[in-house]
Amino acid sequence: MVTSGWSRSKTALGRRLLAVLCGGAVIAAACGGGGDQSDAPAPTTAASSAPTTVAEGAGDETPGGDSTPSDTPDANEHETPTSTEVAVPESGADRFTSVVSALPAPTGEPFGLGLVNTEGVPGLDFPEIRTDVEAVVEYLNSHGGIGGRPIELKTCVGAGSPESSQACAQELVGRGVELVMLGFDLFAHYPTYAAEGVPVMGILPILPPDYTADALFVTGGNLTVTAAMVAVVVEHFAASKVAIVSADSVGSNSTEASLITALDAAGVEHVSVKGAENETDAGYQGLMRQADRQGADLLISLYGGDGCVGTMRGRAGLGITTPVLSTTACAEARVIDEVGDDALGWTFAGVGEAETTANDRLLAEILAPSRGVSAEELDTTALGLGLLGVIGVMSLAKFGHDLADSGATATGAALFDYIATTKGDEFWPSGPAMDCGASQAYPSICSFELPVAQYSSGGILTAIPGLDSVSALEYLP
Amino acid sequence: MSDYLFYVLTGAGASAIIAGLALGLVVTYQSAMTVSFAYGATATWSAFTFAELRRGDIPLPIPGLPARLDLADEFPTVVALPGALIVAGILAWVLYVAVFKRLRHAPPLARLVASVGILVAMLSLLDRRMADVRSLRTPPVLPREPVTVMDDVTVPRDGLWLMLIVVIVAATLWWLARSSVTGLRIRAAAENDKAAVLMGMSPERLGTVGVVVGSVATALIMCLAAPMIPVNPTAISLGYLVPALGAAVVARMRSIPIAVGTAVAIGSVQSCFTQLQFDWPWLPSTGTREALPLVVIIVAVAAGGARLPDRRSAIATRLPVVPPARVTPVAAVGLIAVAVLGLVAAGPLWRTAMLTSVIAVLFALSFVVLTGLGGQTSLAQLAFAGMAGFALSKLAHDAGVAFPLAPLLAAGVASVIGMIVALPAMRIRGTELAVITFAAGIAITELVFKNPDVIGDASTGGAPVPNPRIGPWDLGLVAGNSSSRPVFGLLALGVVILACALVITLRRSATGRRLLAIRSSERAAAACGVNVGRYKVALYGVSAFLAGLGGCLVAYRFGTVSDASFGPIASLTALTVAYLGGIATVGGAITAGALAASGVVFYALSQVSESSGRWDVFLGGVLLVAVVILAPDGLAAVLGRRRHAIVARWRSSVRATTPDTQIDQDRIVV
Repeated sequence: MVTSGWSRSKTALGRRLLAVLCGGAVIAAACGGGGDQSDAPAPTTAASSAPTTVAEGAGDETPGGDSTPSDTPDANEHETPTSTEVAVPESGADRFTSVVSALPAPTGEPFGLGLVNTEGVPGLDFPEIRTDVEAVVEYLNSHGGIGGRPIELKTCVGAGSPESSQACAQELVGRGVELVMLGFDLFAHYPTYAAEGVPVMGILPILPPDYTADALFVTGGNLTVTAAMVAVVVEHFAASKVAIVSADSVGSNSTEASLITALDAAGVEHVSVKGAENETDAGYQGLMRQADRQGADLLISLYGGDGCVGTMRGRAGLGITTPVLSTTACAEARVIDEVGDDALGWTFAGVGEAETTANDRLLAEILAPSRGVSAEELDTTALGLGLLGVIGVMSLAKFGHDLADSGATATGAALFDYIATTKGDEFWPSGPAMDCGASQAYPSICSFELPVAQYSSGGILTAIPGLDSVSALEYLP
Repeated sequence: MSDYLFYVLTGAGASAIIAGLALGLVVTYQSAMTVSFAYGATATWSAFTFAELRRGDIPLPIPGLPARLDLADEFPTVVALPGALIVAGILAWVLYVAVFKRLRHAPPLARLVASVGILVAMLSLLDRRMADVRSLRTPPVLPREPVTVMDDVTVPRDGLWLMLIVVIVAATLWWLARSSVTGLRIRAAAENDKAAVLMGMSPERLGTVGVVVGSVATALIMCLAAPMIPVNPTAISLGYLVPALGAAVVARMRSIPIAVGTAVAIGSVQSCFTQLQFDWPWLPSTGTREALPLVVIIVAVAAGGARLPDRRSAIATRLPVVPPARVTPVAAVGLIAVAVLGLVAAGPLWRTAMLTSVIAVLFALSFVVLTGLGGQTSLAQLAFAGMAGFALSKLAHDAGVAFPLAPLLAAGVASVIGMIVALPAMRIRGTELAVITFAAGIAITELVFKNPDVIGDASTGGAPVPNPRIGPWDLGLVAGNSSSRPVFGLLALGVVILACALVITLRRSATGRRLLAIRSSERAAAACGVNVGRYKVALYGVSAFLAGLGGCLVAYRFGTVSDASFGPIASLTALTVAYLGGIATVGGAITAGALAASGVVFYALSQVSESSGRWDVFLGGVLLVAVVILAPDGLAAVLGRRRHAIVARWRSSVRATTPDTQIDQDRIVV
């Protein structure tokens, strides 16, 4: 079912961040297998450099039809009026954004916050997550902390192995943290945290154990992306048969398995075309040719990054007109820049519109010093996976602020309980609505709504009306 | 049929890339008798250099300097291509002179381990120096316009051009190797450097020429291929290298035409798989594309091998020395006491490091049995361990089989797989066997570890493994409110002690002597009535069983099994660590356990010294190469010699201070 769960008050940054996270999920999935990161996209934001607008009428074309430059409305005619932002009531996250800068420096008992991150390993090196978290913590320690408590950040850098993740878990519980936030941790050792009673909050579930872990995740990773894709297949494209093109890698196979289960449940016929993790451009052309020959109403591509470039070029080169549904991994700026209008006919689950909002400005103010640029120069649409940590810490600060307002003390356990039990509130910055535990099969997942956009000519990604918030809940495998 | 023609032609580019690498591997082997796992990494560096030069930058590999010099908006191909080829030549020359020339007379395994060190260092260097570009796209060099071969078969022509160039380069090198004086000298010097010296030739200089020529030829292919593929650190280094290694092995590392032909066949089959998966729907849906050619290669190479080696190859093989298996009670009790102390009395972090080391000893022991005692090679040990880990998940979690039956059965599964992989070892050996077992490990990874039915998915939480229990006693690492229970460490230690005892007993037994006889000379052992084939299969079975036990302990430790712990790179790393420790002795295995990543030595170092952070992996690779050069028999052997020297010095000093009468008495006794 396609719903409109996100009101217009949901700011653009939140949706772009969600796009990053969804892209990150594909990265992580690709990382799941040894050296098979080749189909992983770079951790940059979707729609980062592409001038993105909200095209109100762009989705009116016939479902299943192919977008062409001529049938796509002029982007300039559909730019979101800047007044929209003013007209809508502020969400909880927006309210926090508006007050945080005025909060005094915290004075209470320090809040021990643990951070686990992966750095220094070829293919698994995300120092920006740590440095951005440090920047946010530094800012918050001058502006309210977490519920009036200054944050004492304790970081453990892992090496992307189960051994190092377990060691990090041991180290952080040994250092007495109140709550652990997972940056990029492929093998988080939940039993250790659970045994010691330390709550865990993550931004992005990556590997299968994350989905059933005793933890809370802001987004649903590949699981909700694939479920949302099925929603779009059924509700938007009304497709009865789809052809799935994917790499034969651990991550892609796992994602494809989830997708197939969801398609089966929805009664959609499907056929899979497996390609290599590293194809030549001609090889991608062969994959798209084979997929197109299966008589499907819609093609689904689970490739990311370079695979997106190859499949987009391959489809365009062969003159295939069957539309393609993909993930944010294919909506990355570098992909769109590379292929240009070869992306016509492609739709992306997890991508929304981009606007400059108060949240963007706060983000720029916080991160600019650590990135060595001025706030005006900082491109908040291209922050990479550093946003994972920013979302996590700012969300904790927001919830801590809410708890303190209600007279409660913002402890790690209290924050965890708040996130787990509160419905409808939002993660910062106006991200998806919190709905932890809505799926009994995946108790760690806290949000199930994703926006969907499509490519229009001239490097523009346009939101599809009616698909600005697609619920994945009913289509979870 | 036109469909298959289409896929063969669209696969021409990939086939040409594999052929280019295979070509270089054969030329390098003929020049320096070295199979380098780092070959793909050096080719990747060349491709990166070309791509960067096309963007107007000169990449600088030296840490501390800027990552690149920005000289222009872009360089034309006529400038970028020669630049990249010069860099390729220099890189090959440096690696040969600094590493492989020094290891010319070292055991082949030492050269292989050194190449793994170079691979690690090169990939890390690429990652560090090119941190801002994960993948490069390069403007076309070769004509790209589609060409229509027949109805419904229209393909881009750049792949076809690249294939033509590969064939021309291969033919030229083949002719040079067979017909030119320098080519003949290079091959002769590589095969018998002493004879070459006697004839007034310089084996080092000839080896250098051959290695540089091979590297430049491969670099040429990679640079021309760069516009067709995303240039990233892993695609060429690993993705295309493995089938290239397979092609080179089919060619016995000697025939350029066979290597190129096999490479083209592999590339074509992989490309045709896009169609084949629909025409042969009974094929496994995951992993077949990569695994199928490898399985065919394994069978083909094994079928083409000889049951017994010729006399020359028996003489040429050299492995680390196997000393007698002496166990002094003091040493045994001391080591066990240290381990128990670390697992029980130390803090959780030391305990975690100790646990890593204890389990790593099992993996190293599996190499001691296989390589140290039997002289065989396997680069699939961690794949066996992974098979046991996933089998344990199925047995213990899904089927409810109790401990300790479940891990024993799971290790048995690994043992059976090990014996199947041993079948090629009946007919091939040495470097070829190393490559074939590496291919077998990848085939297992592709067919098993990529399969969601085996490794689980989000709905199952992966492949969970319950804690080991005996009746009411929970032996797991995490239980109740305790996240680091010593009892699991003691369980692991008990398993390792039993395994050590098994290996020592094996070494001292008649079976052990027969294994050593096989290791020394299969021909001589067979002449003495030893059933070489049967012992080899049993050897792989025992070795895989030990690795399987290690895999079960890893699974119990984390409560879930991840393919990441058991991939091909993990096998390479395990071999590397085992070799560093000392692959021929139980003491070496214990040393290897201590040296394992995240083990006690690493943890201790992290406590006493500032981490070099982002350069850790690079430095680790460089250090590995240095140790292989300085201690080709392993650190345990070096430590042993040091200990003997100290003891001898102490004894002589004691003798010097003892009264003359006592000395006289000693002399009388003697």
